[in-house]
Amino acid sequence: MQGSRQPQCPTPATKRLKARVAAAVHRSVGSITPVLQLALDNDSRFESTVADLRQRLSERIAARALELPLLPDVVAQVIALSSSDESDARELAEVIRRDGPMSAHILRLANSPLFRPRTPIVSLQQALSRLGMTQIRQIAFAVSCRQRVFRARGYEPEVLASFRHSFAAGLAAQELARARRWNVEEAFLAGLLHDVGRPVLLQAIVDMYGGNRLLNRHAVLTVVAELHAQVGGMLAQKWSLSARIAEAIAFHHDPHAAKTAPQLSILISFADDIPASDADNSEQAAAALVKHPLVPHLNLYPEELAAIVARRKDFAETLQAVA
Amino acid sequence: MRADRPWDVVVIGSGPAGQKAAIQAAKAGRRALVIEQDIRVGGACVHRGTIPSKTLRETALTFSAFRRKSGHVLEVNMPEDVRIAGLNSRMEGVVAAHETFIADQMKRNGIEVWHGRARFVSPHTIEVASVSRGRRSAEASAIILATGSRPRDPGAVPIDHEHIFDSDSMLSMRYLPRSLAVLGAGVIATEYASIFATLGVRVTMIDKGERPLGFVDPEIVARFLEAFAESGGRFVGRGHVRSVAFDGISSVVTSLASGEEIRTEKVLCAQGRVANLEGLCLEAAGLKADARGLMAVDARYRTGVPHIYAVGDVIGPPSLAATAMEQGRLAARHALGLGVSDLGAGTSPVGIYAIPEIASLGLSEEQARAQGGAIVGRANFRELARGQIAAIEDGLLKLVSDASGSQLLGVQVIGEGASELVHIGQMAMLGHLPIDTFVECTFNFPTLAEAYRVAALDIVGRRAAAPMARTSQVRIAG
Repeated sequence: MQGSRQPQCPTPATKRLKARVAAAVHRSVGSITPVLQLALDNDSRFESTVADLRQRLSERIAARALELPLLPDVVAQVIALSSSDESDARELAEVIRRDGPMSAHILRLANSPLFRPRTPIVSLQQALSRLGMTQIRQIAFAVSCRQRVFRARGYEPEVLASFRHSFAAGLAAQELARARRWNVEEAFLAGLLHDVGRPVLLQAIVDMYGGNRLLNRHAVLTVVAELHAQVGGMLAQKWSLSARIAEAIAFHHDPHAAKTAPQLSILISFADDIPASDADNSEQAAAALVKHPLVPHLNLYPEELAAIVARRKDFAETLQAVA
Repeated sequence: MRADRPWDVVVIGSGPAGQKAAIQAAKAGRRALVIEQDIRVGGACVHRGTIPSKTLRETALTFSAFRRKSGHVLEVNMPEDVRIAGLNSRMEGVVAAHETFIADQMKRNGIEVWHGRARFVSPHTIEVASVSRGRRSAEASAIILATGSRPRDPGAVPIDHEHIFDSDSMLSMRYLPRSLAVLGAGVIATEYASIFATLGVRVTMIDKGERPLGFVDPEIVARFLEAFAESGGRFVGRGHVRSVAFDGISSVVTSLASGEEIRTEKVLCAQGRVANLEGLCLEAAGLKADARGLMAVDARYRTGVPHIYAVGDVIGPPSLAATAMEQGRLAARHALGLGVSDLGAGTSPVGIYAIPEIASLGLSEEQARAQGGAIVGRANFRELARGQIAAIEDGLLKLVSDASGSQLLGVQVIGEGASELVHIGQMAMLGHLPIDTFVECTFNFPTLAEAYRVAALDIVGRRAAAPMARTSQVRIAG
């Protein structure tokens, strides 16, 4: 018999998820003015909007009817070229040149303090040889995702915040992987895309409700926070990324439930919690991370963790150039 | 920080040496504690070394055996972008099963395991700091150091674990590279070079020595190099590496002093290993590493402090799992005042899981000749029915006898099954059996074990041609 759902004792995983949802909502909503925030919090329709959104989106997800964006063309081409023995930097430069914003991003990054060029980088080919194929591939992925996937009309501040957080998590994940002697590229990609479900869901909501300005923003972000991991995993599958990456994205809020790649899922979950902001680059932030419940699972001793936390300044500089 | 009641034995490290030491202590009814800095037990052997690389090797072997055994009727080509994870799909299962087995075995024997980093506070007291910064201490009557080793970082090679790997990160690659340079020519370098070459990767092995595996019989090494070249591998001997650098595009450039530049997609740096001794605060126990960074021990694996023992990679070569296990067991027995037998002394085999496999035992031909002469008998696997049937035609077994051709002094084998075959010779050496035993015994047919009979017959034939040997033969018969 299908009755109304009885309240259940929250499991530790549910509690963790709820805490994270609250933090994510706070992070995103924090960019809205306090007056508006107050109005939204007082909205009596909050609960009903959450329930309605949850139901409609869950149905679409279950029916595989949620519109998922395609892997951006330029990324597919860059990946193909950078993996080929026959291709050279000129060919790759040509593909990137056709994408104006990406060319600009790459030039900006090549000239950023992170790479400290002795002389200014003025050509794409020069930038390619300075950054290397792997970096270019990562930047192409990040910039394309920023342009084509991380966008939802009316939710620009939240989406931008989400992208900045994702990129920083990708950089943190790759350094964690390097420290653990795990695959570096895989960790970056899983970190970069761990929250990709958020903009996809926001765009779906915009498509469903059009320009409905009365939609409770807090309710929207609450539902997005609940469902984004699942949708992100689906998108990774659609883009034919590895099953390990798809699983790490899908389970980054409940990494112990991952079956194929539990270690990668734990790593991404932890990277998700490393504060990206340079302003947080303090002793206290590092000390708090030491007590993170996933640290024992990653077997990171304090000095290893401190070395990664210390690199957040580099992450912030890279982030400036890309986002 | 709290102190527990004293332990009979505290073992630092849960690799092969540590496990066997702790199990020996527990089997003797003593309280044993193992301290492991990793979250999992098993050490590098289980998680980064022996078990994972051997699992990949099995996949490579299956791939090459399929081509060979089908008489090249069926062409097997690797598709592009083969995922190592796919080739190594059994690896995680094998590693997990082995780890579970070790953990269960320790639990079953009542061995306690603490996870954290150990350091000496005094000769009998060890403090353990866990990842979460919790601290506790253990006092012990005997302490066994089995902390293992890690890849040596040569400094001049910028290992980034992304383009340039060491043996700990090598298997984190998700895709099979098109080309690979291997720096070094020891056991690990040779194993990885031959495994990847068998998988169709263009491998260049570079070393400053004239040939790989300097401690192995030159004839066996020559056979290995033939097989390696046949798989598409190239060995660059006397290759002095000047620099290694990622070119920023898609290749790593290894520049040699000769002027040659070798461009490969990835590089493996396997130029030796260093003992894990830092952080132990050895000085608090009155200990010090030697000039090579190893722990010096006596014949019973005792360090300069009598109740502290060291076993496995921390004491240096041969740095093999099998040897380390035995060292751990013997050290625990001695520490607990149990009898220690010298029965197996000098007969520890060496197994190198390259493709083809290499194994050796006792004296090489060169060493035996230097000690007063030798007669060497050979059996090529292509002369054996089983070698032909199983398409293992590149194998060779060498028996090294004394100058009279009567006593077995050493065995060298190359070819599939070498690491198993060598044990027949080991038993013969332990039992001091004369060479003629191999001639007079019946072996199953067709088997590779028949190689012993063929090689022994070769010795018999050679000694018959030598006057001194004939005398010796009469003596044996009489």
